[in-house]
Amino acid sequence: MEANLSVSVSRSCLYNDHRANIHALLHPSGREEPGSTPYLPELEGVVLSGTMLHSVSDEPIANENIVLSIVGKAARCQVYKTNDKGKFYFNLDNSGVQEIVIQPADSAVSDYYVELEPDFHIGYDHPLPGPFYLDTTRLKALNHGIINMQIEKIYKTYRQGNSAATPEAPKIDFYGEPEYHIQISDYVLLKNVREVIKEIVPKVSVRVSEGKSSLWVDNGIDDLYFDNKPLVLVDGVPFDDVDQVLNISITELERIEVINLRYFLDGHMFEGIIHFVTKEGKMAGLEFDHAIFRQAYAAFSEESCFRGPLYSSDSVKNSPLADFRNTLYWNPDLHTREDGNTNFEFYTSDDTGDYTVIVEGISPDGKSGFIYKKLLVQ
Amino acid sequence: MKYPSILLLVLFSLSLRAQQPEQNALQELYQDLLHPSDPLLNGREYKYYFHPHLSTPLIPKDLLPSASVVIREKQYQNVMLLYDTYKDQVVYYNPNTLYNNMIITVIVNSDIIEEFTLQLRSGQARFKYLAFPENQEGLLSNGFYEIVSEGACKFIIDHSSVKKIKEGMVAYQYTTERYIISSGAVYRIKGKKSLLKALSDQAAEVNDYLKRTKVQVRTADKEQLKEVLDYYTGLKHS
Repeated sequence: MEANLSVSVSRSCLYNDHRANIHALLHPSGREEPGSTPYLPELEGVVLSGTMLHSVSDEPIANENIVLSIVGKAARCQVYKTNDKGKFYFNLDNSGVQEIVIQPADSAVSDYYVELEPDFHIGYDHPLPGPFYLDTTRLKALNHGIINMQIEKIYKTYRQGNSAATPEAPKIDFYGEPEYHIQISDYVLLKNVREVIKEIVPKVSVRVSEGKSSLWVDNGIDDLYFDNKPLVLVDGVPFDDVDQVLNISITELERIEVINLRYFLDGHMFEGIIHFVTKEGKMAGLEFDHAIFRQAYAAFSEESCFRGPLYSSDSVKNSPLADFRNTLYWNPDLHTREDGNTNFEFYTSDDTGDYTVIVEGISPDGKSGFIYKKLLVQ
Repeated sequence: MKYPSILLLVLFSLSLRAQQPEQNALQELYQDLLHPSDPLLNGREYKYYFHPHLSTPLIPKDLLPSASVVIREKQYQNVMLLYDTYKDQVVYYNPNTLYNNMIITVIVNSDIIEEFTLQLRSGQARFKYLAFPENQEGLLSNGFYEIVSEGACKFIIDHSSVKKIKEGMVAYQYTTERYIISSGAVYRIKGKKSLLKALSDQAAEVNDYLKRTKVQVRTADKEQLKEVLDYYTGLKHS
């Protein structure tokens, strides 16, 4: 059977088998409501689901296009049409803590609030594996492990690991390459953003009506402007108060990107896109004229990588650098072959003793398992 | 100490506990909930930039609902797709979707397309986006290529157009070029000599096969060349 495994090899004294088998503690609590949407697999990233409701009536905002955006220098917007119950589903495919904004695509819908659903399946109890206690029968071994840890802390920095964390791919705007890219530092410093748009930014013009400014995009083919206003983004977030955008300090602005074509995002059409990117990438202190849903959200954890030493050559093997690792191997992303087998390699350290190999696994159809075996290093 | 250890996990038998047997149904539900809108409506509008023209860079010449496309592991069949061989863009046309009473053609984002298939006059053609390492010795740039064979080596066809002006009008001269990617190197296949160079590790056997089957590489169609490469793959695996 093919399975995804997490494997670690560490000193036995540091492994508490009374606490480790979390799988045995997980069990369905039967709290899932009959007929409710099952907990979805997360195939492309963290599934962010919730409900958008009217703030006055608490009624769901049904069949409304809403936009998820992430504050930052890259525009990564998604559009979703809420269902009859105001529910929505988005994918967050980046790791780390993201500052997310969820708002209706139509800025006229301003009285709303969002309830996010729990990140984890509520149909399972998640009991803690009991209080920590020090196993006094293992004091000698634990002291040994602590001394190892201290030695390792000193020598680890001098040793080269066998792998490095994969750098995260650069974040790309959802629209790809813009039609026009204006890097503010490439031009003489103009007075304000309004002047930059007038003098430098092609295919965009500012119109003022009843004391309010708006931006319009030339469609580039027959020198006509689109009938509808473009999607205006500031640091990746839709922002429709153009007067505030035009008042961003020119010294804070890094670049302006323009798409002077209709753009389709998840089936929703925008007549042009203008993206203002600030140097800080934090929306330059702009304030929405109505309450919006904006909060820090923890997506997948950053990828971490075990850095074990490689003793493949004699020169490294005979190095005077001490190696007193308590953990010889850790790989949370090991896969078995079709025949259900796999193999992994690691180097033992300078220290002898009992080690424990811990294997946790899950198959593609959700079957989970756990096992540990003792290993003696002589 | 500092000895390498290799553990084979065949020794470990995991005790397994069933949790969710309805995997396919759940994945279907996932697609329906996470991607409810037409997945091809993701990208910028395609503007017909070649008026007036004698010939267009679009294939196939007739727009019919005969294409298929795979997006996020899901296949969508009988869709209207065109491939712009001049700009290397996949163009989607959906007459059932109107925006402001207009039917709009969309350049589908290349990063969401896993593959697409067009019905060309020469037969069905399956395309994939290929990205080549910057330091790779070769002739090709990143883009969509027809994938004919993926055995011991990859046989691909580059569909492209060159812009020409004839009698004051624009004409796009459409050409196809055949390539083999073998051991990380790209070989353009013009005739027998270049084919044997690409398959140099089995050149004598392949040459005998060409003589036996009387295949003329220069004029052979893609199916004939595919058979030659299937033979080569068989040699490699024997």
